[in-house]
Amino acid sequence: MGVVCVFPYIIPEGKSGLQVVDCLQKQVELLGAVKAGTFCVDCETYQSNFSNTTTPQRLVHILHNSEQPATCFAIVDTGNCLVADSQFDILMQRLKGFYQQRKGFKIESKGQRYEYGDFLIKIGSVLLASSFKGILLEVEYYPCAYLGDCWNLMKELIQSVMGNVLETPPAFLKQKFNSEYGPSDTIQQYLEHFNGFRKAASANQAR
Amino acid sequence: MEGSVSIHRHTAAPFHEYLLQGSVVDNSCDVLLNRLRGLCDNAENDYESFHDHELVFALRSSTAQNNHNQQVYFRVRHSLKAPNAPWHLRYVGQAEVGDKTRHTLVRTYVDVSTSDNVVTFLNEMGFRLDYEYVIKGYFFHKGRMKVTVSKIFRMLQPNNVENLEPLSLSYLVELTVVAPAGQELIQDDMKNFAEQLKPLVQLEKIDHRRITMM
Amino acid sequence: MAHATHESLSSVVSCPPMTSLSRCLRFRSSTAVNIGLKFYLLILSLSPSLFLSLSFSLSPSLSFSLSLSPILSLSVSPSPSLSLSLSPSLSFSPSLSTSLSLSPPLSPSLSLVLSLFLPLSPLSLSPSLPLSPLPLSVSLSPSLFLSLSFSLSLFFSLSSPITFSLSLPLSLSYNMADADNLENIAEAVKLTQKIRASISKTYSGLSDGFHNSLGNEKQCLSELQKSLLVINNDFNALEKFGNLLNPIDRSTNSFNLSLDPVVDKTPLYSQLLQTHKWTSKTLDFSNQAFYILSQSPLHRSVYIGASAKRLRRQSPTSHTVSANHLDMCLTNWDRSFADMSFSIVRPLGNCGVVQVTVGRAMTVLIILRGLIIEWVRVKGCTENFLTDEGKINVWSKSKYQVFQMVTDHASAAMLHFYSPVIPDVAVKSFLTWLQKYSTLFSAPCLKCGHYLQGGLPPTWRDFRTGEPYHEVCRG
Repeated sequence: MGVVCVFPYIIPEGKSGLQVVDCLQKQVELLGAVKAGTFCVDCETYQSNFSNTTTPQRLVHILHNSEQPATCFAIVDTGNCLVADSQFDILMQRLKGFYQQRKGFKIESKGQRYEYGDFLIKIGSVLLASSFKGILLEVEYYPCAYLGDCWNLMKELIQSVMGNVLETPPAFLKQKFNSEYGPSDTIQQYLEHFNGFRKAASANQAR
Repeated sequence: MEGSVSIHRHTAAPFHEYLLQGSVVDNSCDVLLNRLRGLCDNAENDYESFHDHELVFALRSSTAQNNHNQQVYFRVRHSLKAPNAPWHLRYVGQAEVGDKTRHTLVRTYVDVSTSDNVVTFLNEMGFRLDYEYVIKGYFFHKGRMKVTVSKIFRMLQPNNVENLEPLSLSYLVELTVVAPAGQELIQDDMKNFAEQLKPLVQLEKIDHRRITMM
Repeated sequence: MAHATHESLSSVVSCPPMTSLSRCLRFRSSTAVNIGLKFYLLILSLSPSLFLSLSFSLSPSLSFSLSLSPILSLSVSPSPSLSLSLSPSLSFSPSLSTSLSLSPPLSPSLSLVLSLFLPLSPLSLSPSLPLSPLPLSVSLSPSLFLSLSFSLSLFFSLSSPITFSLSLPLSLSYNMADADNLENIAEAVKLTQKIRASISKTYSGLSDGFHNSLGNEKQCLSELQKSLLVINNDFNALEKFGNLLNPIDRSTNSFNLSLDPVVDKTPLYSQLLQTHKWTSKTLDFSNQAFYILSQSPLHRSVYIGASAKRLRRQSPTSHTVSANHLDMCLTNWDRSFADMSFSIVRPLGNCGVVQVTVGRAMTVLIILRGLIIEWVRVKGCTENFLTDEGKINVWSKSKYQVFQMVTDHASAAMLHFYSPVIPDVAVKSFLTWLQKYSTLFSAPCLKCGHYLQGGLPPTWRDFRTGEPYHEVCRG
């Protein structure tokens, strides 16, 4: 498990999402990367419906990542992340009386995987309830486990492919600079971005 | 479990736990262990022991719709012998009693391995600790069947696993099989196995509701 | 059969000189015999000369034999009381050799008949007729002798009807088939030939047609019947003869000649051949490899032939450093290199396997023989050096290209820093160089200024300065 950086790619005006994805894929292939299958990261949200007002509303997000197929990640909105077996989904079903799934909140990022040396590049299109919302890029560098050491490396690679996108590391990653990186960190990055997309979508809807 | 990387994992077949319980007095425990060692797999190895700490969490709420208290219990178990092993989060359903043709207790069973921050996670989700205990004993397995001979200890102080007091002077013997739903034939195997332990320990299906009502 | 007769009856035997003869003799004692024996000795000593004797045979075949006795002499004692006949007969005739001893009647006769049969005499009959109303003792010797047979028999007859004959068969011979048997065999062979002839005659007659003439089928059939009858008769005769034949004596070794040898099932010989070829090829190749490799300047072992003087002064001991010394060195290195941690395992005896973690970047496995670095393997911090069973695994490569490259560099460094004379300095400088790798991911290349070149960070650390360079940028 290496270090992962997830960041959105801003779609320039006038172009469709598909076009941009295609363009990115070509650029990556030009770099010398090799296609290596597809990936999918998805998220479902459950909301608590406790009637007593002392306990506040809780949101539990259940995420799955195709890189870790047997794992289920559960994140409470306080930030605590539980890494569990894939049977955790069944357990959530048992809590039907207490936590209900929020409809229309299912969001996922799907796309192609590319391998380049010791790097893994994923170009994913974000779909919220099957409608395209944006592009999320993920770059993983396998050999290193500490973000602080290889941040510059990764930045160089990303900038060589995508231009000047990441001058400063994302806020979330800043905290993780000197601790060992794990899969739950990746998932939390994804959740952050998913929440961003959801907010943007609801803001759009509100408009 | 599932072959494909599918998102809809909650449609997997639920597992059932088939259970028979009994007890032996402390003095007769050795005899029973010896017999089990002979009957079960891996007879040449020493007894395999376990030392676990189990916490039971309850989530109670009274929803406006149902107008009565609903509660669900989740059990968290971790090993005190192997601190690096993953923690287990388990849900056991209510046993269906009353069916005379069934030799064993049958209840739904979900077991999830988790990272070690389960307790805080459950607390944040709204679960509250109901009770906890330490369980120490030996386990054997024969094919799919698992037999545990264990002693339950009460913790005199919360979060302190050192200060223990045994709950009774006997050992709890449990014969369990976890299998996908619908495999009723396993109960006959279990009954036959229980017969072999007959004079030493009586394994039978015990109605838990009657105990809780006492 | 032959042996039995041999034993029960006397035969004519020759024996070596008198003294042994007396030793050989075993008899029921009686005074008469003793006297006779003594007398016998006396008599014989008188005539040690060559003797030629004629002997008559009273055998069914009525043949003569000439016997020559170079050793012993025959003396016929005029004494009516004794008759001793010693006739070593070397008869050259194939038929018989007998000796006859006569003794006057009415006297207890002691006849000692000794003869040596050398030839192939089918039947030897040596009657010794005391010509008395005493019962005749006849000795029938076995029919065919192919070797020396000694049979010593003593006739002892007093005026008693009892005749003892004791013989010591010291027969060293084996018997082949009788003369009868030989004849039977010859006859049987002839009969077989006869049968073959009649059968082939029948077949040729059948093919020719038996004087084929139309309407003459009866004649044909009668001819055929006749020929078949002939065959039948011949076959019966052969069967009869076959029954008369003696079976081959299986007690002797000659029978084994007829057994088939077991087919050799183990391919031992071919396997041996292959092994030999393989070993000689291996020897060839290793010699060639040694020659080629010895020409490279990078070899690190000391040759026995090279500079005997140097060897006498100081033989390299850096590979035989004791385990304690090595542990001490390890603790020293641990202290001196702050961000590197060392641990040692000794799975196979003296060679130490040291695992070094360099900062947060990588872990290195070094195999030491004494204080000489033999093998270096670099893997990432997230990878481990264990097999499935938990044993140390030194062979598997790292999954990542970076570390594969660093392994190559480290192997080069291992050779660069090699010094058998001052091994601890060598190892320390190697470790100092290795320490530079803690900045593997965070240092840019000094030449091009970039972090990445071809997807790889600067993996090369200069041997002298320790500066990071890309693999392609160095030099």
